Amino acid sequence: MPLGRMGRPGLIGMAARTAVVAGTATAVSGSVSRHQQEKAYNSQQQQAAEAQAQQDAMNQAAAQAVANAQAAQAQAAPAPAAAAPSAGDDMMAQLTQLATLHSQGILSDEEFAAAKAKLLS
Amino acid sequence: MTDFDYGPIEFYAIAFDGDRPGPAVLQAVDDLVAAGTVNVLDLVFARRSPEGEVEVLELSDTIDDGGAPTLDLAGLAGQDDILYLVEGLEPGKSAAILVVELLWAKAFASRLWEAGGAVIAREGIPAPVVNAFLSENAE
Repeated sequence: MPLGRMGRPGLIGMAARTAVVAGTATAVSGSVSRHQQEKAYNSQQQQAAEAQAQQDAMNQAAAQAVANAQAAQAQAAPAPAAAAPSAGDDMMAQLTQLATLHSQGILSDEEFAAAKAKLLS
Repeated sequence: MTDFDYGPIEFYAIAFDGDRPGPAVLQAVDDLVAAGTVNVLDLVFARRSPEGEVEVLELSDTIDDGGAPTLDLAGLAGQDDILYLVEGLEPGKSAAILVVELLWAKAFASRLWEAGGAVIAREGIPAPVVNAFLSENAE
């Protein structure tokens, strides 16, 4: 007999181990290849989960960086914020706009009066 | 050109009642060898005692008249392989462990290897399952 059955590794187990190491499932049928596939699938799942965690961490870091930048900008540039149109200016602009619309006939007398009253109230 | 000495092989565990294969089982294996579609590398028997112990029987232990088929690689199924294959064998039953080389796939395997291809998945479907599936699901 060319091969002894005892005292050596089995071929099926060796094929399964080889496949796991090489990352390729070899020609093994039945539950061995199923086990391999499950193992490969599980390791893929794990890798995907790790990648997702990494992505989440990166996203979080990016969001934090944006927030920091915004906070810095807000602190560094209080002047433009203060330079925003004041309530009075805003009202004048709207009144002017209403007057223009009225003079162009887009707003009727009643509509103009109502809008002006609302704006001034 | 790379030509493998052997093509892919498959292990089968074929369960039957009793502690020795009947003539019909042996005849089926003989026919398989004669057909030449596969190369029967190894054939060995295992039986599970009512207590659950597995005992391995060589072909020569089961055939009295010396009419055993010639085996290319007798002994290829190692003890570990046999124990793995008969995990599902019920106490009081026996199994023929058949190791066949798929001759049709031998040249194919060589060409795939040369081309850098790798078989990454493979699933065998037992004939009774195939036929039952088709009779239920085919038009």
